[in-house]
Amino acid sequence: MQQLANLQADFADFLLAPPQRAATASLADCVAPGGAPAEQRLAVYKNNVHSQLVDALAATFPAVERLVGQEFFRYAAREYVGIHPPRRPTLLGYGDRFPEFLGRFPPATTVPYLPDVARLELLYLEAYHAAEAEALDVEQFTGRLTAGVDDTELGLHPSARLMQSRFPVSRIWELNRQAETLQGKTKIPGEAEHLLIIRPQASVEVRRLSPGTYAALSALDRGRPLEAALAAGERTEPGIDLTHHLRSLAEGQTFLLTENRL
Amino acid sequence: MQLSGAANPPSMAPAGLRPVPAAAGIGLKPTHYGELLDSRPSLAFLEIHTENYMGAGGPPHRYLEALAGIYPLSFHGVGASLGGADPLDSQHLARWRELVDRYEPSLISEHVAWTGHAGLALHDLLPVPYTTEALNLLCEHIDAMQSVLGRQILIENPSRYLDFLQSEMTEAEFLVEAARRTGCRLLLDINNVYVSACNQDEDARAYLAEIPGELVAEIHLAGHAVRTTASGHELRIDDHGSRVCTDVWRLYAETIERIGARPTLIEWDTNVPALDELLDEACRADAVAADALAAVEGVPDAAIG
Repeated sequence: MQQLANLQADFADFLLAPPQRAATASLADCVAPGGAPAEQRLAVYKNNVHSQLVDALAATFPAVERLVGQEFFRYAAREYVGIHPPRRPTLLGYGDRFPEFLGRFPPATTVPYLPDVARLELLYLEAYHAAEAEALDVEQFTGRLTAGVDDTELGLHPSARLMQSRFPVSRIWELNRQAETLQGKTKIPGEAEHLLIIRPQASVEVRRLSPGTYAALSALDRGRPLEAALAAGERTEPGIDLTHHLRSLAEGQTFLLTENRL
Repeated sequence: MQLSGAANPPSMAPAGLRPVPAAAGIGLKPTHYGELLDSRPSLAFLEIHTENYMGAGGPPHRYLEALAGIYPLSFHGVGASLGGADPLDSQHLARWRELVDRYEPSLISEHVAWTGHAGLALHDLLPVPYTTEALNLLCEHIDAMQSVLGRQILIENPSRYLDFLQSEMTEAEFLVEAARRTGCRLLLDINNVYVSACNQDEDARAYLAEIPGELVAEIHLAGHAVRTTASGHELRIDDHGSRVCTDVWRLYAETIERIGARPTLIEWDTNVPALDELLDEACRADAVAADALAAVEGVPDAAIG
């Protein structure tokens, strides 16, 4: 008994092995003879598995693909598939360790901002698929700024993701989202960025924040009270008019009321 | 209504669900979301790959909710691994259940294939040897899925590039026996029957003749590619990337003549065409089915249209 489990274990090993590695004799011997040889029949499945997963990564990381070119991207993606095969029956979210992988992938180190572009693309997709929620409007938000303590706190929309980069990552990403890539031929202002990626309604927005605003939102995102978040913003960027920055974010449906976590 | 049993599978659409007309539908593709909502073409149903809607929210669900108000839905799974040796993934089934509760699809289907092993998900529809051991496991898994969802499911014949020496019965015998034991029904993919038969030098017509019409609740049609291998052999690759081929249309017509019309999906998943071309293929399926039914009834073609 247990023949099915053994066969599937052998088959799975073969599918995830590097493309050039042939099937074991014990697997090939299971294939009924006739017509195309067993190795060619098995190779169809292996090719399907790899191209499906590489295509899924290309769909998640289009700007990375444009930055490095299709050939390099597919090479890197195949390596990634071998090291981090998917573990969930849905491909949504597959590639969550691709940014980290690119950061350690020796052939990619000549493009130091590549992992951050990948991270932005991952967060973009997370925001795209995140839960829906009704954000506060500006009046409700302003009310919260002046209200006393009660059992609710200010939080971020469930689609909100924060990231910072020492590169102008959102500008590089924007230039490489289009089909015609500029491949670094355009001068990009070289400063670091603090980003909010959010999808309050149907489309994902990538907003560049000042460092103080970013610090305040990060504090809110960690469940800190509004007062502590404002203090964190001012510590990071003394003299910042945080109320102004936060109100303009509220116009873009950024905040929610959450249960007081204290 | 009769109680469900081996010989009397439960009725397809439980009370309250929109029935799917026995006519053509299309696979729902994100590139067509907006145009479908704006133009609302006449279609029997829309089919989705359930796994693509396992995110919490966002545009996929916004569009699906809007389209669910217009068309009956079919939820077609590609990741449950019903043919796997491992137990089904209970978290995956729980997500399936949430989606079924939310959208109340009229049809629910999965593949007779395995898609993962030992915690890894391979995301391909991999072949099962047609053995008694595999049949028993498949039936356990169909029972588990039907019981978690509280619904009858359809199981689809896979496209195959090989058969295993271990097989003890034909694929048709394997599928029919699984349906008889579990009360599930069949999603007959005629392109897959054709692709597998060509790849294994078998007779697609003989296969189709083995499938009792009353078990078939849905039909799939798609295009495939023809490749020549290094040794000069021909293998047909089920890539869902083109129009349905002439031989498959002929087999479809013969099947409709024999068993009557069924909800029929045009699958087109790679090189996705403009919506118009997809709708054109769906119209053709309706026309082929109408001609086939007319032939059965002895009505001249000219009297139909």
